[in-house]
Amino acid sequence: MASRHAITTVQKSGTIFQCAFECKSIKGAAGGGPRKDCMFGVTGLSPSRQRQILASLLLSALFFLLSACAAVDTLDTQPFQDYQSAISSLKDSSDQALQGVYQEELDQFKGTIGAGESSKVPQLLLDFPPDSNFAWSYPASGGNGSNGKPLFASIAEMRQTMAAMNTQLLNYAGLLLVLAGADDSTEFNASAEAEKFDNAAGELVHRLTSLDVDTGNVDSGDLALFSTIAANLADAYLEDKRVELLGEILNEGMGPLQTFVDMAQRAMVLTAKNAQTQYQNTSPDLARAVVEGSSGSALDDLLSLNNQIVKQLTLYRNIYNGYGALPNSQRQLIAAVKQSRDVSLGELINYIANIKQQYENLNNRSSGEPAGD
Amino acid sequence: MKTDDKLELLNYLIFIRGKLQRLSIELLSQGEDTSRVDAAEKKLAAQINKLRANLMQRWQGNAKDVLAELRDLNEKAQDKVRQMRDATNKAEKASEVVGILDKGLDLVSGILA
Repeated sequence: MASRHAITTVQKSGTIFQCAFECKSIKGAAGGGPRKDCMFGVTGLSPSRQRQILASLLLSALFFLLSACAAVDTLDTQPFQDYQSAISSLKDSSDQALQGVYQEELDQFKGTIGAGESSKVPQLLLDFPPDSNFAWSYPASGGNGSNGKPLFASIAEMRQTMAAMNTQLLNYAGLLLVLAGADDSTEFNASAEAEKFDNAAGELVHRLTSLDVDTGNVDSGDLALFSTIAANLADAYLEDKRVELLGEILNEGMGPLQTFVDMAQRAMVLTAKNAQTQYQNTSPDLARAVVEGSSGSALDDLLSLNNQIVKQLTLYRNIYNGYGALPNSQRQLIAAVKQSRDVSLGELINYIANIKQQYENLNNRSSGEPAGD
Repeated sequence: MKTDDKLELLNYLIFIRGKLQRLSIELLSQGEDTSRVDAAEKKLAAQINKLRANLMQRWQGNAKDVLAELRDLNEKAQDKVRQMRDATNKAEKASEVVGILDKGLDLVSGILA
């Protein structure tokens, strides 16, 4: 007893073709029950034509199956771009902050010497250690610092080291961006590659023909589908690899990033302490001049100095907070990479916007009142 | 003394210095002698400078380790980028896709046989 299960019926050139499973019950051996034997077939065609159509159907089925499997979620590179821009802004702003306190410290140093404090002059004479050809250092003792180094020189050194650390972090952020796919060198263009590979499909037709296979419905267009499939699969593979590598390096970066942030924040605290000290070095003379009436501009100068220090401290606090937002931003990038979801580095971007605003305020020294804390 | 303790001490010294400076100006405006307050304030300023220098020196010492960590991280990141570029280059090689096409050919040949 045979049963037919039609899959699809197609009419072509007046002939009706039917793709179907045909199952027959076959009497089993002694003691055994009947078994069902099913086979897939196409009716209305010669056996060789049936095979050709089967091959074509198989190709089409493979294409739809594999291209569906290979649907690729590409990473959004914008958050990585934002991250890099934020670090670049922090690098610039912390450098300018340190440059500001360095210049002020240097000016005050020169001022004290100009006022007759000659005891500080020996601090300026460099030593050249005998055990090195190119080394130099400030005197080991006799200054107001613990190693005799003038404070402006310590600030300059700190600025240089901060710049070096910021540059390293910026490089890291740049590499994250490359890994995320913003760089052509790691980007795979599936459609362009598929087009290139279409030529190879023609070769395949040629090989089929050389195998004495009647290609029939199987033309180069069908076979080119394979190149699309291959390109899509390669793309999917590369995106998987990208996510894997990016996830690894983001995670590995969390420890060093946190250590760096602690150092950068401490540098901003020390910058604030330097600025406060510089203010205290200058403000009493102005206040004294106001009380004694010895200078007509002293009052305005004192008010301007107050305005300036308030803006500076506000800016340093924002840079401090900006650095503090980096680890959380990186955690968000990790989550976004893991879960293929969009991410917004809003907190970090807000701090950067505030820092830019504070710089504008600081550069506009002649106007405005101190904003308060 | 730990760095955090030194920073806290520096905060207090700066705070006290400000108080002494204000006291000096108040005494001056009342016509009083400020010399003793000014001398104390100067001593305090010298201590503040020493502490600032010490903290910056300590920061500089710690920074060496952080820089080394960051350089190491960058090398690892460079390596990941290299791996990604290698994988992309491989994927772009037509021979690999031809290989896949050949597998397709085998499959089709097997069916047609």
